Amino acid sequence: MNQILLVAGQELWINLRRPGFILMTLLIPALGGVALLLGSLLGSDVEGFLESQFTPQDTVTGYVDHSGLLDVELPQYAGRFIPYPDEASGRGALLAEEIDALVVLPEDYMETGRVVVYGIGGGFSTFVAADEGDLRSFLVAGLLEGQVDAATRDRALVPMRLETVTLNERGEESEESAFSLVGDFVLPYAFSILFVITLFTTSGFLLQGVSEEKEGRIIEILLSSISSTQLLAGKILGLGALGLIQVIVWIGAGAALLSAATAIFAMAGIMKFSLGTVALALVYFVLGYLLFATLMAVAGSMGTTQRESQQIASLFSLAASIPFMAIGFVFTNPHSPLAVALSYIPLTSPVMMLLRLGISEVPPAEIAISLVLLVAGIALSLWAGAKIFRASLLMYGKRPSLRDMARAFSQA
Amino acid sequence: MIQVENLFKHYARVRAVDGVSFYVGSGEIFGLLGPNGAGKTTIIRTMMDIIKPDQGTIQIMGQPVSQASKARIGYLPEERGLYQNYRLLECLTYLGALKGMARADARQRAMALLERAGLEEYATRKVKELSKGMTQKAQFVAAIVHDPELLIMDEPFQGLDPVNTALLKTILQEEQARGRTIILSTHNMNQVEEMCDRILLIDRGQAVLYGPLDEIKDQYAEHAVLLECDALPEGLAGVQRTERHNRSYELILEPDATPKSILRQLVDADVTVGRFEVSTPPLEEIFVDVVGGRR
Repeated sequence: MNQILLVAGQELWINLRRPGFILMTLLIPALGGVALLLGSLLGSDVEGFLESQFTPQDTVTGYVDHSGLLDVELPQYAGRFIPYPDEASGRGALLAEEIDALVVLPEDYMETGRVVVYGIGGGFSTFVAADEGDLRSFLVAGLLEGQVDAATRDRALVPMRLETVTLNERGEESEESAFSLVGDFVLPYAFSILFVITLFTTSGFLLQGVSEEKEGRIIEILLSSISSTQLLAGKILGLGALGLIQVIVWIGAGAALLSAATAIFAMAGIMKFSLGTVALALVYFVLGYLLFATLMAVAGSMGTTQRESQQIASLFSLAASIPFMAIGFVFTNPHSPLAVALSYIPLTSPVMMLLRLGISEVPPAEIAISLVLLVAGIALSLWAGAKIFRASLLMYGKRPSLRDMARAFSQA
Repeated sequence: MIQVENLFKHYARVRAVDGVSFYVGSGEIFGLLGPNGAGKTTIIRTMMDIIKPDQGTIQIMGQPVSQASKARIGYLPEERGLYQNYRLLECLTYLGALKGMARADARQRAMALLERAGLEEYATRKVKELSKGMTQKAQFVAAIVHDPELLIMDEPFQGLDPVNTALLKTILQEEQARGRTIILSTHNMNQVEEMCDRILLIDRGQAVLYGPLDEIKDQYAEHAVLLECDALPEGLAGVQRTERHNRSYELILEPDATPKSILRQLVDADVTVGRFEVSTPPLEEIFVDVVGGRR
C-alpha cells in the first residue's frame, strides 16, 4: 500500500506542475471571471444581452407573388417584406444584398402550399436566409386579411403566449426570467462539459505517463521495485486525485462566481440543480475516470511509442464521444431510447449521464441500472487491463498480438 | 545468497529457459553469460519477479522472491532509462523511495553516489540534459541508490568510455569488498575474466558451462606452458612441439610431462626466464568453442 501511495503521490506532484494542467485549471475560472466582469459592465442590459443571444436577427425578405393572394396592405410587415413585380428584379435585389432572401409564391400556391426561397451563400446560409417564423406569420396575415376580424387574425398569428411557472418543493411559485435559462441549462450543461474535460484530461495524462515510461525504458526499473498492479493502482489513484483537485477548484470558483453574480444582478436561486445532482455527477465522474484511466493505461502499455498508444486510445475516446454526437437527441428528449441506451453502456454512460443530469431529472431506476453496469464494466476493465498491462509493459518495439493478450489472460 | 532450481520458462513455442539450476554465494561476483537470446534476461526477470516462471523455484536470501527481497536487490536492466523530465536528484530520490527508503535518506545517499560518480554538478539538471555516458552512470547510481545487498547488473559498462568503465568497475569491486553479492551479465569476456569468481554460460535456455572460472579455464586448457626467455634450449624432454609468438613460446607438452618438469629443466639449463605460466585459453575462446559447437 505504501508503494501505491508513493506512486500516487509522485504522479500527483509531477502532474500538478504541468503547465497544461495549471493553465487549464486556472483558465476556466478566469473565463468565468471575465464573463462576470463583462456582465457587470453591461449592467441592466445583461438580460437583454442574454435574450439577444438566443433570438434570431431581423431579416429583410423580398417576395414575388404569382398567386395574387398577398395583394393586400400589411403595414405591420412594412420594411421587413418588400414586394417585387417579377423574379428578375427580386433576384437583382438579392444579389445586390438589398434583401436577405427572396420568396416566390407560384400560381398554384393555394393548391400546393409550395414556396420557393432564394438565398445567397449556399448551403445552410440559404436554408436559414428567410426567418421561417416571420414568413409563416406574414403568409397567415396575408391570407386572413379581410377574411376574418382583427382579433381572430391576431390569435391565428400568435395562438398562445407561453408563461411557465415552476413550483418549488413547498409548492411556491418562482418567477422565470432570462437568467432562468442560465440556471436551468447553460450552467449545468457547462459543468457537465467541464466534468467530461477533466475526465479526459486526467486519463490522458495517464496514457501519456505510461507510454513515456515504456518508451523511455523506465518500466523495468520500476517493476524491479513494485508490481505492475501496484504501479497501475498508484497511477490511477494519483491522477484521480489530480482530476478531483481540478473539479474542486472549478466547483469552488464556480460557487464564488455565482455568489458574486447573485449579488451583482440580484438573481436569487439561479442554480436549479441540487446538491444531490452534484454528488451524483461526482460519482459518475469518479467511476468514469476509473474506467477510462484503466483503458488509457492499457493503451499506454500496448503502444511501442506515444503516438501508437494515442492511436489505440483514440478507439476508447471515440466510443466515449458518442454521447456528444447524439447531443441533438439528448437536448430534444433527454429520455429518448437512444439517450437511455447510451446511459447503460459503460463506455458511454459516464459522459451521457453527466450530460443528462445537467439538463434533466433522470429516473432513479435508470441511474441505478447505469451505475451497476458501469461498476461491472470497471471491474472487468481492471481485471483484464491489469493482465494486459503486465504482459505489454516489457514488450519493447512490438505491440502485443491477440495471441499475446490471450496468453496474458491464461497466466496468473 | 541465490538458489535457482530447475527453472523453466517458455514463450509460445520457444523455450527461453530450459531447466536451469545454479546458486550464487554471498560476496561473490557471478558472471551470467550467453549469446543474444540465450535466456539471460528471462532468468534475471524471473529472479526479479517481473515475470513468472512456468516451473522451478528461486530463493533469494533464503526466501522466495518477495516485495521485501526485491527491496534488497539493485537491478540495472539492459533495457533501461530514467525519467527524462525529472531533475536527476529528484529521479534518484524517487527510485530510492520506491525501494523503501525514507526520501531524506534516499536523497542523501543519491547525492553521495553522484559525487562518487562525478555527477554532483548535474544533480539539479534535468535527465534529458545529460550526455549518453552521464545517463549510463546515473542509471548505475539508480540501481545502487538504496544500498542493496545483491546487485544484478545487465551490461553495466555498455556505451561507456574506458575511464568511466574503470570507475564503475572500481565501484563494483568496492561493493564486493563491502560484502555485496554481484551478478554480472555481459558480453565482454575480458571484464568477466577480470571480475568474476564463478560463471554460468547459457545457450538456448540451457546451462552449458557452470562453475568457478579457474576450473572452467583449466578444464579447457591445452596441456601447454607459456614461456618468455632469451633463448629456448633445445631438446627439452616432454615437449611435443614449440610455437613461437613474438618474444614468447608456447610449449605443447607430451601427456606424461608436467609444467614442473619443464621449469626444472629450464632452471638446470640456467635459462633467464621472464615469464612462465600454464597456458589457459581466454574465456572468449571457450565461449566461442562451446556456443559455436552447439550450432
